[in-house]
Amino acid sequence: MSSRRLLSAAGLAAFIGIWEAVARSGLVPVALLPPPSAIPARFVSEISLGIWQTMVLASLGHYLVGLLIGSLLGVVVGGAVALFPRVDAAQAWVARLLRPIPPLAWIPFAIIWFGISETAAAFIIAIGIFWINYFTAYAAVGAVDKDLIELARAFGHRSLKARLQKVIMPAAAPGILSGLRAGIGQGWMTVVAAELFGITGIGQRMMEAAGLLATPVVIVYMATIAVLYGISDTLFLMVQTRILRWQP
Amino acid sequence: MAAIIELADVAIGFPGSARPVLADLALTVRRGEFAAVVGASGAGKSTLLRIVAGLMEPLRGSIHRHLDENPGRRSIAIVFQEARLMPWRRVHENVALGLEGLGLADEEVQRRVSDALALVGLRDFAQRWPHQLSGGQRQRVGIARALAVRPEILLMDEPFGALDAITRQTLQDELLRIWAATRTTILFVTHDIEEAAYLADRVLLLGGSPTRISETYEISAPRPRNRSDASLASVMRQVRSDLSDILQEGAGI
Repeated sequence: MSSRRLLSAAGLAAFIGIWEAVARSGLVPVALLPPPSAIPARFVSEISLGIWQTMVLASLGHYLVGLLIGSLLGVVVGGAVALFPRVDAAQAWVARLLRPIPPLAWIPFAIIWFGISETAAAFIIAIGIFWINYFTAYAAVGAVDKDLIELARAFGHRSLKARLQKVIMPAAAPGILSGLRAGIGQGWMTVVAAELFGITGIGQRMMEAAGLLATPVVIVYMATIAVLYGISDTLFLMVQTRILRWQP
Repeated sequence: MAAIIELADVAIGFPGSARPVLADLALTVRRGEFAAVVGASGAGKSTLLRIVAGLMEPLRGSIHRHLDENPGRRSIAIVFQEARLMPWRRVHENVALGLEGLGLADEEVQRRVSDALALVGLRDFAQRWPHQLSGGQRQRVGIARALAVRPEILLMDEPFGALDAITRQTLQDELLRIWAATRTTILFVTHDIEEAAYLADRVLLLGGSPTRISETYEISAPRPRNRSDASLASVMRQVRSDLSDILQEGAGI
């Protein structure tokens, strides 16, 4: 292991050690700050009751649907707006109006439109992811080197489809991929909030547990989200590195 | 020699600008010749090439391109000052750009790409990424990309302008070798009078305001060319003196 990794591992161990010491010292009531050593047992019991699997699968469902729709719409709309100046002008103020509204502010409408349902959770997740991808795709497509577009024209690729295929999509790929990656992270942040109002999933289970002051259970799910995020980000990074292998 | 490109009374301007950049421009390029256009920066040399390439439309005037519309090739190819390689494509994929959409079989594309890379001495670099090449190598790839489509006319927009002196001379000699081997018509734009005289059969001087072809010089120096040829030196002196007259006229001196 490199010395950098060793230091990182030592830092993590120290963090858990200090947490354990503080929790056991009696300075803070155990209900408010459970020691990390209490977590594995609760994790096992959540799994043996089948709750953990149900909640994770449900959240994963909302997350993936929201991620797919938000990413796809964000990239397509952001890219199209960058390609067509008139469309850009027509939507500029609408985007400026809607952009600052946080995804969670849509919760009332999500419930009115979709009820307390999976769709409502996916909708809220999709909104946050949409805006990230909209702006990165807009910037990435807008920044495509005009000289390369002229080059493609000079070599016979004049249609919009050819331009997209030969120049715009590959040239904008680094920007678009970084937006998709940011969206993957943002999605996990919204997933919990989107489920707080009673939709089955990690967020709902955390609210329940918090109400009963079962703080170790809350931490089980906090850690679950951290791990799920870590896995999805790592997988995406592998795909991204493969697609962008041409970069120095 | 028959004409391959004929421009008559061509005027070019930019939107919002009252005066055309080029006006009453007449230019004939003969099939098989190496023609060079020289002129000061901003004279409209690149614009002229874009008009010939069909990348820009003139305000008025007529353009006749006497080209065969052969399905397996592109009649016109262009080499830009910057190599303009697509960084996400390997060298061989960059060279294949113009061959895509021509309906060629994969083996034919591969053969043409490898022939074109061999012509510019980069056969062993086919799998590299553009960022792994030097400036001179990148420009060679740009030339291979243009040659791969087997153009009837090759347009070159100051292709060696951004290279160091030694690389520039090497590539000039390579270009002459390629031209002798392929006999493709070349219209070469440069601000470097020596380069134009050394390479071309005919040098056209672009000058005045608005710009037109103000002088034409036939270069009779024998090929292969020798940089220290006395007749080349006398043409260069003549071009230089005419160009400086034009620039002084333009400046109102």
